Amino acid sequence: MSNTDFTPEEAEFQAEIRAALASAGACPRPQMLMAAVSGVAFEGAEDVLRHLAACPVCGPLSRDLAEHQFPAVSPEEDRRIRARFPRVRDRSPLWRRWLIPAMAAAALVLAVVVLVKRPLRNAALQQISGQNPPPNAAAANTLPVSPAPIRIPAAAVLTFRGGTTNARGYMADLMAALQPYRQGDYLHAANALDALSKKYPNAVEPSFYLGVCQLLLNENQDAAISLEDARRRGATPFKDDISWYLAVAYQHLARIADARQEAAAVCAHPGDYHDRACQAMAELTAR
Amino acid sequence: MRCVGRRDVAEEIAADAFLQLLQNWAAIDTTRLPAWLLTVVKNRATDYWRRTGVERRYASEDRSVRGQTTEEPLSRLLQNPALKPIHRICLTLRYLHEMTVAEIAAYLGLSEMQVKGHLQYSRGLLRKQFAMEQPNE
Repeated sequence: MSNTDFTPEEAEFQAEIRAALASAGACPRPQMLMAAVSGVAFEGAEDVLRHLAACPVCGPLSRDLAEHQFPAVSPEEDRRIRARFPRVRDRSPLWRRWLIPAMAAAALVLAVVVLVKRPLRNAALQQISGQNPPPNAAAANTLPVSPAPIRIPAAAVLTFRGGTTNARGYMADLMAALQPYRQGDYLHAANALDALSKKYPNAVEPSFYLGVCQLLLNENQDAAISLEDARRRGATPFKDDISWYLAVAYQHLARIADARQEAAAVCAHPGDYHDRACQAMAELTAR
Repeated sequence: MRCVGRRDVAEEIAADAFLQLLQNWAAIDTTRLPAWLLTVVKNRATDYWRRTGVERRYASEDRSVRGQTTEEPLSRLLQNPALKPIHRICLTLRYLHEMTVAEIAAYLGLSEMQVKGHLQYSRGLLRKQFAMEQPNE
């Protein structure tokens, strides 16, 4: 790191503090310092940690850097990371290449089973909770709801936020809350995700999956509130997901204009929900 | 990002970790997923440092630390209560590590204008501190 961009004023300032700088010793680069502190076991890490324990400048610097909020993953970075996965799938062994379509087929079957069972489940839940059925929820006319796939937030790993502690805690909490969701137990998942959304007021995932759970439980008003909350929290990686599930929630609530607007936003560009959204828009317009 | 200092490298490491996750999904205990991911990330960061060979250069340098007490002049300057953590970081990276404004901005995820602002504020503050201390020395 050779510095060639000092202004004359800065060069003068550096000369003023030269005596102080000379006393600091040979300090490791900040990235190396933080790698050693984070437990990255490279050759020389022990030397860096020994230096850190003795150096009056590197100690505060490592603490300050641990607290610094590095920017989260940008949509472009997120897109690039996701874009690598299909290429790998092509190079996979034959059985693995069949695994994804097989899982998709299984998910479809499961979705059908869930949809068939849903009215019974909802009736039972309404008996327990005393809820009224949602307006205009005539099964023949409602958009189908299927569970959203679970996505792990890349940001939690990429940014190493708060010296890994916060990221690790959030990921652990999120995975635990999504465990019942994975098993189809949306009632317990909704309770856990509701608590999580309060614990992490800036995280998108708890509100989003809570909204999906509520939709699956036919609690459409609550679902719309949760999904709108997820959008307010910064919906970038889940933009289409939120729009699609909001379209469904609004349609179940007979807010057809809002539903059409959300579906149109998803239908406007290619994506996971594109076909469903375009079809839904056509149906909503035809009514 | 903190550990490798470059966003492109951090992105590469994160992508690699998720790739490993995909390939080992069946064998992973999902309740231990965060720990598993962080271990993979740490291993990839270790590989990165090994590849760069920078640690070897550091190992061959003089690592002695002069002035190891809290009264050491630079740390005393940085203890000015009017300096926020971001000011201390910018000052240290700029004048001790001699990083360019662009390098600091890229590392911290700030704009160059923000970094220049932090440096200007900090210099002004330390100059005042210096001016107050000089007559006594």
